[in-house]
Amino acid sequence: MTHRYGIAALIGLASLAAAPQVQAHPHVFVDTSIAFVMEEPGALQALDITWRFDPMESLYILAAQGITPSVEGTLDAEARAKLSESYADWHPAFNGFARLSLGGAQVDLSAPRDVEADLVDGQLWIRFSRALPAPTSLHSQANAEVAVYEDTYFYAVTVGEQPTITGAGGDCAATLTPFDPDTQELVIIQTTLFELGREETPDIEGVGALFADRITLTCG
Amino acid sequence: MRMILLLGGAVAAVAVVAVLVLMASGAVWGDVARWAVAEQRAFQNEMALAVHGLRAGAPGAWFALLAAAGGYGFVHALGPGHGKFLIGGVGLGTAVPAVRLAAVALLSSLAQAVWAIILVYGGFFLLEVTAHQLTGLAERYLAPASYLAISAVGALLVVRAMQAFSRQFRASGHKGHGHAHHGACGCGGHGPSAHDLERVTSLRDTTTLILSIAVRPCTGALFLLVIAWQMDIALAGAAAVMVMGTGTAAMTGLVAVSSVFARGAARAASDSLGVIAVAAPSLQLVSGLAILWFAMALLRYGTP
Repeated sequence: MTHRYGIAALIGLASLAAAPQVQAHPHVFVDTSIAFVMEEPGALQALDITWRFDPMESLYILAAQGITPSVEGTLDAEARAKLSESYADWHPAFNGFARLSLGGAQVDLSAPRDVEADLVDGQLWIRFSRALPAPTSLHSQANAEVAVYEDTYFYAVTVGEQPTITGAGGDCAATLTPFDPDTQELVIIQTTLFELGREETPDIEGVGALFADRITLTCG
Repeated sequence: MRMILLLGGAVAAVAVVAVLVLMASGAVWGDVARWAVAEQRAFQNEMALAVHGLRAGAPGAWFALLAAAGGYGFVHALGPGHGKFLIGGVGLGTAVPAVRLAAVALLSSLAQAVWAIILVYGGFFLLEVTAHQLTGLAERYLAPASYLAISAVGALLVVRAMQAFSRQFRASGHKGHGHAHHGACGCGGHGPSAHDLERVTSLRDTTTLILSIAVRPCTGALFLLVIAWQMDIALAGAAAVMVMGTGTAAMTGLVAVSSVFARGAARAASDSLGVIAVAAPSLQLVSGLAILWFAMALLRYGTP
Protein backbone atom coordinates (compact mmCIF):
# COMPACT_ATOMS: atom_id res chain seq x y z
CA MET A 1 0.00 0.00 0.00
CA THR A 2 2.53 2.55 1.13
CA HIS A 3 4.84 2.01 -1.81
CA ARG A 4 2.17 3.74 -3.87
CA TYR A 5 3.23 6.91 -2.12
CA GLY A 6 6.75 6.21 -3.22
CA ILE A 7 5.55 6.00 -6.80
CA ALA A 8 3.48 9.15 -6.26
CA ALA A 9 6.66 10.84 -5.05
CA LEU A 10 8.43 9.78 -8.22
CA ILE A 11 5.54 11.01 -10.35
CA GLY A 12 5.76 14.36 -8.60
CA LEU A 13 9.51 14.54 -9.02
CA ALA A 14 9.36 13.43 -12.64
CA SER A 15 6.71 15.98 -13.55
CA LEU A 16 8.83 18.68 -11.97
CA ALA A 17 11.77 17.43 -13.96
CA ALA A 18 9.65 17.34 -17.11
CA ALA A 19 8.91 21.04 -16.81
CA PRO A 20 11.58 22.32 -19.23
CA GLN A 21 9.18 21.48 -22.03
CA VAL A 22 7.13 24.54 -21.08
CA GLN A 23 10.14 26.81 -21.39
CA ALA A 24 8.74 28.37 -24.51
CA HIS A 25 5.47 29.41 -22.92
CA PRO A 26 4.51 32.98 -23.67
CA HIS A 27 5.14 35.92 -21.40
CA VAL A 28 3.83 38.77 -23.52
CA PHE A 29 0.44 38.77 -25.19
CA VAL A 30 -0.15 40.74 -28.34
CA ASP A 31 -3.53 41.14 -29.95
CA THR A 32 -3.36 42.05 -33.62
CA SER A 33 -5.70 43.07 -36.38
CA ILE A 34 -4.88 42.99 -40.06
CA ALA A 35 -6.35 44.80 -43.05
CA PHE A 36 -5.48 43.91 -46.64
CA VAL A 37 -4.90 47.01 -48.75
CA MET A 38 -6.03 46.45 -52.34
CA GLU A 39 -5.10 49.08 -54.90
CA GLU A 40 -7.24 47.77 -57.69
CA PRO A 41 -9.64 44.85 -57.53
CA GLY A 42 -7.77 41.71 -56.62
CA ALA A 43 -4.32 43.31 -56.35
CA LEU A 44 -2.73 43.18 -52.93
CA GLN A 45 -0.59 46.21 -52.17
CA ALA A 46 0.09 46.26 -48.44
CA LEU A 47 -0.91 45.02 -45.02
CA ASP A 48 -2.18 47.48 -42.41
CA ILE A 49 -1.28 45.96 -39.07
CA THR A 50 -2.25 46.92 -35.52
CA TRP A 51 -0.60 45.47 -32.43
CA ARG A 52 -2.19 45.80 -29.03
CA PHE A 53 0.12 44.82 -26.15
CA ASP A 54 -1.25 43.37 -22.92
CA PRO A 55 -1.64 45.95 -20.11
CA MET A 56 1.45 44.86 -18.15
CA GLU A 57 3.74 44.82 -21.17
CA SER A 58 2.27 48.18 -22.23
CA LEU A 59 3.27 49.70 -18.89
CA TYR A 60 6.70 48.08 -19.09
CA ILE A 61 7.37 49.38 -22.61
CA LEU A 62 6.41 52.88 -21.48
CA ALA A 63 8.53 52.66 -18.31
CA ALA A 64 11.52 51.30 -20.21
CA GLN A 65 11.34 54.29 -22.54
CA GLY A 66 10.99 56.70 -19.65
CA ILE A 67 7.41 57.61 -20.56
CA THR A 68 4.87 58.30 -17.82
CA PRO A 69 1.27 58.44 -18.99
CA SER A 70 -1.10 61.06 -17.60
CA VAL A 71 -3.05 60.20 -14.48
CA GLU A 72 -6.01 59.50 -16.78
CA GLY A 73 -3.86 56.97 -18.64
CA THR A 74 -3.29 58.91 -21.87
CA LEU A 75 -0.15 59.85 -23.79
CA ASP A 76 0.83 63.32 -24.96
CA ALA A 77 1.97 64.04 -28.53
CA GLU A 78 5.63 63.92 -27.57
CA ALA A 79 5.31 60.45 -26.02
CA ARG A 80 3.35 59.16 -29.02
CA ALA A 81 6.00 60.49 -31.40
CA LYS A 82 8.79 58.88 -29.38
CA LEU A 83 7.03 55.52 -29.40
CA SER A 84 6.19 55.71 -33.11
CA GLU A 85 9.81 56.39 -33.87
CA SER A 86 11.03 53.48 -31.77
CA TYR A 87 8.75 51.08 -33.67
CA ALA A 88 9.75 52.33 -37.14
CA ASP A 89 13.10 50.58 -37.07
CA TRP A 90 13.28 46.79 -36.78
CA HIS A 91 15.91 44.18 -36.86
CA PRO A 92 15.58 42.61 -40.32
CA ALA A 93 15.21 39.14 -38.79
CA PHE A 94 12.05 40.17 -36.92
CA ASN A 95 8.94 39.03 -38.76
CA GLY A 96 6.76 41.79 -37.32
CA PHE A 97 4.43 39.12 -35.89
CA ALA A 98 2.98 38.53 -39.39
CA ARG A 99 4.41 36.53 -42.27
CA LEU A 100 2.85 36.83 -45.70
CA SER A 101 3.03 34.10 -48.30
CA LEU A 102 1.56 34.01 -51.79
CA GLY A 103 0.85 30.58 -53.15
CA GLY A 104 3.00 29.15 -50.40
CA ALA A 105 6.04 31.32 -51.21
CA GLN A 106 7.11 33.78 -48.53
CA VAL A 107 6.98 37.46 -49.47
CA ASP A 108 9.32 39.99 -47.87
CA LEU A 109 7.35 43.01 -46.75
CA SER A 110 8.76 46.52 -46.52
CA ALA A 111 9.90 48.13 -43.29
CA PRO A 112 6.96 49.57 -41.34
CA ARG A 113 5.57 52.85 -42.67
CA ASP A 114 3.28 55.49 -41.17
CA VAL A 115 3.84 54.18 -37.67
CA GLU A 116 1.41 55.46 -35.04
CA ALA A 117 1.29 54.71 -31.31
CA ASP A 118 -1.21 55.39 -28.56
CA LEU A 119 -2.33 54.16 -25.18
CA VAL A 120 -6.02 53.20 -25.07
CA ASP A 121 -7.66 51.66 -22.00
CA GLY A 122 -4.25 50.78 -20.58
CA GLN A 123 -3.11 49.00 -23.74
CA LEU A 124 -0.38 50.27 -26.01
CA TRP A 125 -1.38 50.31 -29.69
CA ILE A 126 1.12 50.34 -32.53
CA ARG A 127 -0.29 50.80 -36.04
CA PHE A 128 1.70 50.68 -39.27
CA SER A 129 1.65 49.61 -42.87
CA ARG A 130 3.95 47.16 -44.68
CA ALA A 131 3.99 47.11 -48.47
CA LEU A 132 4.55 44.20 -50.86
CA PRO A 133 7.51 44.64 -53.25
CA ALA A 134 4.89 45.35 -55.93
CA PRO A 135 1.09 45.17 -56.04
CA THR A 136 0.30 41.56 -56.80
CA SER A 137 -2.83 40.27 -58.45
CA LEU A 138 -4.32 37.45 -56.51
CA HIS A 139 -6.39 36.33 -59.48
CA SER A 140 -3.35 34.85 -61.15
CA GLN A 141 -1.85 33.60 -57.90
CA ALA A 142 -2.90 31.03 -55.42
CA ASN A 143 -4.21 32.35 -52.12
CA ALA A 144 -2.46 34.85 -49.91
CA GLU A 145 -1.90 33.67 -46.36
CA VAL A 146 -0.83 35.67 -43.33
CA ALA A 147 0.49 33.66 -40.41
CA VAL A 148 0.46 35.65 -37.19
CA TYR A 149 3.07 34.56 -34.66
CA GLU A 150 6.44 35.31 -33.11
CA ASP A 151 9.27 32.86 -33.74
CA THR A 152 10.21 31.97 -30.17
CA TYR A 153 6.68 32.07 -28.70
CA PHE A 154 7.96 34.45 -26.03
CA TYR A 155 5.17 36.61 -27.44
CA ALA A 156 1.80 34.92 -27.84
CA VAL A 157 0.39 36.77 -30.81
CA THR A 158 -3.26 36.34 -31.69
CA VAL A 159 -5.68 37.88 -34.16
CA GLY A 160 -8.45 39.51 -32.16
CA GLU A 161 -10.64 40.86 -34.92
CA GLN A 162 -11.96 39.60 -38.22
CA PRO A 163 -9.58 40.66 -41.01
CA THR A 164 -10.81 43.43 -43.30
CA ILE A 165 -10.11 44.59 -46.85
CA THR A 166 -9.36 48.25 -47.46
CA GLY A 167 -9.90 49.71 -50.95
CA ALA A 168 -10.95 47.66 -53.93
CA GLY A 169 -11.91 44.37 -52.38
CA GLY A 170 -13.76 43.19 -55.46
CA ASP A 171 -14.52 39.51 -55.25
CA CYS A 172 -11.89 38.86 -52.56
CA ALA A 173 -12.67 37.50 -49.13
CA ALA A 174 -10.51 37.12 -46.02
CA THR A 175 -11.02 34.23 -43.61
CA LEU A 176 -9.56 33.91 -40.14
CA THR A 177 -8.53 30.47 -38.86
CA PRO A 178 -7.53 30.84 -35.22
CA PHE A 179 -5.06 28.39 -33.71
CA ASP A 180 -7.05 25.59 -32.14
CA PRO A 181 -5.26 24.26 -29.07
CA ASP A 182 -7.48 21.18 -28.91
CA THR A 183 -6.44 19.66 -32.20
CA GLN A 184 -3.78 17.13 -33.00
CA GLU A 185 -1.53 20.14 -33.49
CA LEU A 186 -1.16 20.59 -29.74
CA VAL A 187 0.24 17.10 -29.43
CA ILE A 188 2.77 17.89 -32.16
CA ILE A 189 3.70 21.13 -30.41
CA GLN A 190 4.17 19.52 -27.05
CA THR A 191 6.20 16.76 -28.58
CA THR A 192 8.28 19.34 -30.41
CA LEU A 193 8.98 21.36 -27.30
CA PHE A 194 9.56 18.21 -25.30
CA GLU A 195 12.13 17.00 -27.79
CA LEU A 196 13.78 20.39 -27.84
CA GLY A 197 14.38 20.00 -24.15
CA ARG A 198 15.47 16.40 -24.13
CA GLU A 199 17.42 15.90 -27.29
CA GLU A 200 18.96 19.35 -27.28
CA THR A 201 17.91 20.02 -30.84
CA PRO A 202 19.54 23.39 -31.49
CA ASP A 203 16.89 24.53 -33.94
CA ILE A 204 14.29 26.08 -31.63
CA GLU A 205 13.66 28.79 -34.22
CA GLY A 206 10.20 29.16 -35.60
CA VAL A 207 8.50 27.10 -32.89
CA GLY A 208 6.01 29.97 -32.56
CA ALA A 209 4.70 29.27 -36.08
CA LEU A 210 3.05 26.15 -34.70
CA PHE A 211 0.80 28.38 -32.59
CA ALA A 212 -0.08 30.77 -35.42
CA ASP A 213 -3.48 32.23 -36.18
CA ARG A 214 -3.85 32.22 -39.96
CA ILE A 215 -5.71 34.50 -42.34
CA THR A 216 -6.40 33.44 -45.89
CA LEU A 217 -7.30 35.89 -48.63
CA THR A 218 -8.92 34.41 -51.72
CA CYS A 219 -10.12 36.21 -54.82
CA GLY A 220 -12.47 35.12 -57.54
CA MET B 1 26.83 -9.95 -4.28
CA ARG B 2 23.12 -9.96 -3.52
CA MET B 3 23.59 -6.47 -2.21
CA ILE B 4 24.97 -5.26 -5.52
CA LEU B 5 22.17 -6.95 -7.44
CA LEU B 6 19.57 -5.46 -5.15
CA LEU B 7 21.20 -2.08 -5.36
CA GLY B 8 21.41 -2.16 -9.14
CA GLY B 9 17.85 -3.40 -9.37
CA ALA B 10 16.54 -0.61 -7.16
CA VAL B 11 18.35 2.06 -9.14
CA ALA B 12 17.18 0.60 -12.44
CA ALA B 13 13.57 0.33 -11.24
CA VAL B 14 13.57 3.90 -9.98
CA ALA B 15 15.11 5.15 -13.22
CA VAL B 16 12.61 3.26 -15.39
CA VAL B 17 9.63 4.55 -13.42
CA ALA B 18 11.03 8.09 -13.59
CA VAL B 19 11.49 7.92 -17.36
CA LEU B 20 8.05 6.39 -17.93
CA VAL B 21 6.38 9.03 -15.79
CA LEU B 22 8.41 11.70 -17.52
CA MET B 23 7.07 10.61 -20.88
CA ALA B 24 3.49 10.11 -19.72
CA SER B 25 3.24 13.36 -17.79
CA GLY B 26 3.58 15.52 -20.91
CA ALA B 27 -0.14 15.85 -21.59
CA VAL B 28 -1.15 16.44 -17.97
CA TRP B 29 1.62 18.93 -17.46
CA GLY B 30 0.56 20.71 -20.66
CA ASP B 31 -2.89 21.29 -19.15
CA VAL B 32 -1.45 22.57 -15.88
CA ALA B 33 0.94 24.86 -17.73
CA ARG B 34 -1.85 26.24 -19.91
CA TRP B 35 -3.97 26.93 -16.85
CA ALA B 36 -1.03 28.58 -15.08
CA VAL B 37 -0.29 30.79 -18.08
CA ALA B 38 -3.94 31.90 -18.30
CA GLU B 39 -4.06 32.67 -14.56
CA GLN B 40 -0.75 34.48 -14.74
CA ARG B 41 -2.06 36.62 -17.57
CA ALA B 42 -5.22 37.48 -15.62
CA PHE B 43 -3.26 38.48 -12.51
CA GLN B 44 -0.85 40.47 -14.66
CA ASN B 45 -3.74 42.41 -16.17
CA GLU B 46 -5.13 43.09 -12.70
CA MET B 47 -1.76 44.37 -11.53
CA ALA B 48 -1.53 46.72 -14.51
CA LEU B 49 -5.07 47.92 -13.87
CA ALA B 50 -4.22 48.53 -10.20
CA VAL B 51 -1.14 50.55 -11.21
CA HIS B 52 -3.35 52.85 -13.27
CA GLY B 53 -5.83 52.94 -10.39
CA LEU B 54 -3.12 53.86 -7.88
CA ARG B 55 -1.99 56.76 -10.02
CA ALA B 56 -5.55 57.98 -10.45
CA GLY B 57 -6.07 57.69 -6.68
CA ALA B 58 -8.80 55.06 -7.04
CA PRO B 59 -9.98 53.63 -3.71
CA GLY B 60 -8.92 50.05 -3.13
CA ALA B 61 -6.13 50.20 -5.72
CA TRP B 62 -3.47 49.38 -3.11
CA PHE B 63 -5.35 46.30 -2.01
CA ALA B 64 -6.03 45.29 -5.61
CA LEU B 65 -2.33 45.55 -6.47
CA LEU B 66 -1.20 43.49 -3.47
CA ALA B 67 -3.87 40.84 -4.03
CA ALA B 68 -3.04 40.49 -7.73
CA ALA B 69 0.70 40.37 -6.98
CA GLY B 70 0.20 37.59 -4.43
CA GLY B 71 -1.88 35.57 -6.88
CA TYR B 72 0.64 36.17 -9.63
CA GLY B 73 3.49 34.94 -7.42
CA PHE B 74 1.58 31.77 -6.58
CA VAL B 75 0.72 30.72 -10.15
CA HIS B 76 4.00 31.98 -11.54
CA ALA B 77 5.83 29.57 -9.25
CA LEU B 78 4.18 26.73 -11.20
CA GLY B 79 6.31 27.67 -14.16
CA PRO B 80 9.91 26.68 -14.60
CA GLY B 81 12.90 28.68 -13.45
CA HIS B 82 11.92 28.89 -9.82
CA GLY B 83 13.23 27.16 -6.77
CA LYS B 84 10.30 24.77 -6.57
CA PHE B 85 11.95 21.82 -8.26
CA LEU B 86 15.11 22.33 -6.27
CA ILE B 87 13.14 22.45 -3.02
CA GLY B 88 11.15 19.39 -4.08
CA GLY B 89 14.28 17.48 -5.03
CA VAL B 90 16.00 18.27 -1.76
CA GLY B 91 12.83 17.33 0.15
CA LEU B 92 12.74 13.95 -1.60
CA GLY B 93 16.42 13.26 -1.50
CA THR B 94 17.53 14.34 1.95
CA ALA B 95 16.40 14.01 5.54
CA VAL B 96 15.46 17.67 5.87
CA PRO B 97 12.39 18.21 8.10
CA ALA B 98 9.26 19.64 6.43
CA VAL B 99 9.16 22.75 8.60
CA ARG B 100 12.79 23.56 7.84
CA LEU B 101 12.28 23.07 4.11
CA ALA B 102 9.11 25.20 4.14
CA ALA B 103 11.10 27.91 5.94
CA VAL B 104 13.76 27.64 3.24
CA ALA B 105 10.99 28.08 0.63
CA LEU B 106 9.69 31.20 2.38
CA LEU B 107 13.11 32.72 3.05
CA SER B 108 14.35 32.11 -0.47
CA SER B 109 11.26 33.71 -2.03
CA LEU B 110 11.46 36.73 0.27
CA ALA B 111 15.21 37.04 -0.33
CA GLN B 112 14.50 36.87 -4.04
CA ALA B 113 12.00 39.72 -3.68
CA VAL B 114 14.34 41.88 -1.60
CA TRP B 115 17.16 41.26 -4.07
CA ALA B 116 14.87 42.36 -6.94
CA ILE B 117 14.02 45.58 -5.08
CA ILE B 118 17.70 46.29 -4.35
CA LEU B 119 18.64 45.63 -7.97
CA VAL B 120 15.96 47.79 -9.59
CA TYR B 121 15.62 50.68 -7.16
CA GLY B 122 19.32 50.65 -6.32
CA GLY B 123 20.20 50.48 -10.00
CA PHE B 124 17.90 53.35 -10.91
CA PHE B 125 18.76 55.50 -7.90
CA LEU B 126 22.51 54.99 -7.60
CA LEU B 127 23.72 53.89 -11.00
CA GLU B 128 21.12 55.40 -13.33
CA VAL B 129 21.01 52.22 -15.37
CA THR B 130 18.26 51.64 -17.92
CA ALA B 131 15.45 49.13 -17.60
CA HIS B 132 16.91 47.08 -20.45
CA GLN B 133 20.29 46.91 -18.73
CA LEU B 134 18.59 45.65 -15.57
CA THR B 135 16.57 42.90 -17.22
CA GLY B 136 19.61 42.07 -19.35
CA LEU B 137 21.71 41.64 -16.21
CA ALA B 138 19.08 39.35 -14.70
CA GLU B 139 18.70 37.22 -17.80
CA ARG B 140 22.29 37.09 -18.96
CA TYR B 141 24.20 36.77 -15.69
CA LEU B 142 21.99 36.17 -12.67
CA ALA B 143 19.84 33.43 -14.23
CA PRO B 144 22.85 31.32 -15.31
CA ALA B 145 24.47 31.97 -11.91
CA SER B 146 21.36 30.63 -10.23
CA TYR B 147 21.22 27.56 -12.50
CA LEU B 148 24.88 26.84 -11.83
CA ALA B 149 24.31 27.06 -8.09
CA ILE B 150 21.27 24.80 -8.44
CA SER B 151 23.27 22.25 -10.46
CA ALA B 152 25.85 22.32 -7.69
CA VAL B 153 23.17 21.33 -5.18
CA GLY B 154 22.09 18.53 -7.54
CA ALA B 155 25.68 17.36 -7.95
CA LEU B 156 26.12 17.41 -4.17
CA LEU B 157 23.12 15.10 -3.77
CA VAL B 158 24.50 12.75 -6.42
CA VAL B 159 27.94 12.67 -4.81
CA ARG B 160 26.48 11.95 -1.38
CA ALA B 161 24.28 9.20 -2.77
CA MET B 162 27.34 7.66 -4.43
CA GLN B 163 29.27 7.85 -1.16
CA ALA B 164 26.40 6.11 0.62
CA PHE B 165 26.32 3.40 -2.05
CA SER B 166 30.04 2.79 -1.91
CA ARG B 167 29.99 2.60 1.89
CA GLN B 168 27.22 0.00 1.68
CA PHE B 169 29.14 -1.83 -0.99
CA ARG B 170 32.22 -2.02 1.24
CA ALA B 171 30.13 -2.91 4.28
CA SER B 172 28.36 -5.75 2.49
CA GLY B 173 31.63 -6.90 0.95
CA HIS B 174 33.21 -7.13 4.40
CA LYS B 175 30.28 -9.07 5.74
CA GLY B 176 30.47 -11.35 2.76
CA HIS B 177 33.94 -12.43 3.87
CA GLY B 178 33.40 -12.64 7.60
CA HIS B 179 29.83 -13.84 7.99
CA ALA B 180 28.66 -15.17 4.68
CA HIS B 181 25.26 -16.11 6.05
CA HIS B 182 24.53 -12.49 6.89
CA GLY B 183 24.80 -11.37 3.32
CA ALA B 184 21.50 -9.51 3.27
CA CYS B 185 21.67 -8.06 6.76
CA GLY B 186 23.15 -4.77 5.69
CA CYS B 187 19.61 -3.70 4.88
CA GLY B 188 18.53 -3.09 8.48
CA GLY B 189 16.92 0.05 9.82
CA HIS B 190 20.17 1.93 10.40
CA GLY B 191 21.20 2.81 6.86
CA PRO B 192 24.76 4.08 6.85
CA SER B 193 23.57 6.91 4.63
CA ALA B 194 21.32 8.43 7.27
CA HIS B 195 24.08 10.58 8.68
CA ASP B 196 25.07 11.59 5.19
CA LEU B 197 21.53 12.66 4.36
CA GLU B 198 21.28 14.75 7.50
CA ARG B 199 24.29 16.74 6.42
CA VAL B 200 22.33 18.64 3.81
CA THR B 201 20.27 20.18 6.60
CA SER B 202 23.24 22.06 8.02
CA LEU B 203 23.20 25.85 8.15
CA ARG B 204 25.72 26.12 5.34
CA ASP B 205 23.65 23.91 3.05
CA THR B 206 20.48 25.80 3.94
CA THR B 207 22.11 29.10 3.09
CA THR B 208 23.38 27.72 -0.23
CA LEU B 209 19.87 26.55 -1.07
CA ILE B 210 18.35 29.95 -0.27
CA LEU B 211 20.98 31.93 -2.17
CA SER B 212 20.94 29.69 -5.24
CA ILE B 213 17.24 30.44 -5.59
CA ALA B 214 17.33 34.10 -4.54
CA VAL B 215 20.21 35.24 -6.76
CA ARG B 216 18.00 35.10 -9.82
CA PRO B 217 15.15 37.62 -9.41
CA CYS B 218 11.76 36.81 -10.90
CA THR B 219 11.22 38.66 -14.19
CA GLY B 220 7.67 39.57 -13.20
CA ALA B 221 8.99 41.30 -10.08
CA LEU B 222 11.63 43.20 -12.06
CA PHE B 223 9.04 44.42 -14.55
CA LEU B 224 6.66 45.56 -11.84
CA LEU B 225 9.46 47.43 -10.05
CA VAL B 226 10.63 49.14 -13.24
CA ILE B 227 7.04 50.24 -13.86
CA ALA B 228 6.51 51.36 -10.26
CA TRP B 229 9.70 53.45 -10.30
CA GLN B 230 8.78 55.19 -13.54
CA MET B 231 5.17 55.76 -12.46
CA ASP B 232 6.20 57.22 -9.08
CA ILE B 233 4.59 54.50 -7.00
CA ALA B 234 7.84 52.97 -5.78
CA LEU B 235 6.54 52.08 -2.31
CA ALA B 236 3.49 50.27 -3.66
CA GLY B 237 5.73 48.45 -6.13
CA ALA B 238 8.08 47.23 -3.41
CA ALA B 239 5.18 46.13 -1.21
CA ALA B 240 3.60 44.28 -4.14
CA VAL B 241 6.86 42.48 -4.92
CA MET B 242 7.17 41.31 -1.30
CA VAL B 243 3.60 39.97 -1.44
CA MET B 244 4.45 38.35 -4.78
CA GLY B 245 7.37 36.61 -3.04
CA THR B 246 5.00 35.37 -0.34
CA GLY B 247 2.71 33.96 -3.05
CA THR B 248 5.67 32.16 -4.62
CA ALA B 249 6.66 30.88 -1.19
CA ALA B 250 3.16 29.46 -0.68
CA MET B 251 3.50 27.36 -3.84
CA THR B 252 7.11 26.37 -3.12
CA GLY B 253 6.13 25.61 0.48
CA LEU B 254 3.43 23.21 -0.76
CA VAL B 255 6.08 21.44 -2.83
CA ALA B 256 8.40 21.38 0.18
CA VAL B 257 5.86 19.80 2.52
CA SER B 258 4.58 17.30 -0.03
CA SER B 259 8.08 16.24 -1.07
CA VAL B 260 9.04 15.57 2.54
CA PHE B 261 5.78 13.64 3.01
CA ALA B 262 6.43 11.66 -0.15
CA ARG B 263 9.94 10.83 0.98
CA GLY B 264 8.58 9.67 4.35
CA ALA B 265 6.11 7.43 2.57
CA ALA B 266 8.76 6.03 0.28
CA ARG B 267 10.97 5.39 3.29
CA ALA B 268 8.21 3.63 5.17
CA ALA B 269 7.43 1.50 2.13
CA SER B 270 11.05 0.53 1.56
CA ASP B 271 11.46 -0.13 5.30
CA SER B 272 8.66 -2.67 5.19
CA LEU B 273 10.28 -4.22 2.14
CA GLY B 274 13.63 -4.26 3.92
CA VAL B 275 15.49 -2.17 1.36
CA ILE B 276 15.71 1.10 3.27
CA ALA B 277 19.50 1.33 3.05
CA VAL B 278 19.25 1.19 -0.73
CA ALA B 279 16.06 3.17 -1.17
CA ALA B 280 17.18 6.32 0.63
CA PRO B 281 20.34 6.91 -1.36
CA SER B 282 18.52 5.80 -4.55
CA LEU B 283 15.92 8.48 -4.02
CA GLN B 284 18.69 10.94 -3.30
CA LEU B 285 20.53 9.92 -6.45
CA VAL B 286 17.44 10.30 -8.62
CA SER B 287 16.56 13.65 -7.00
CA GLY B 288 20.10 14.88 -7.50
CA LEU B 289 20.16 13.78 -11.13
CA ALA B 290 16.74 15.35 -11.77
CA ILE B 291 17.88 18.65 -10.26
CA LEU B 292 21.09 18.53 -12.29
CA TRP B 293 19.25 17.74 -15.49
CA PHE B 294 16.65 20.46 -14.90
CA ALA B 295 19.29 23.09 -14.10
CA MET B 296 21.26 22.10 -17.19
CA ALA B 297 18.12 22.37 -19.33
CA LEU B 298 17.49 25.84 -17.92
CA LEU B 299 21.09 26.83 -18.52
CA ARG B 300 20.85 25.60 -22.07
CA TYR B 301 17.52 27.14 -22.98
CA GLY B 302 17.32 30.03 -20.57
CA THR B 303 14.14 31.27 -18.98
CA PRO B 304 11.87 33.84 -20.50
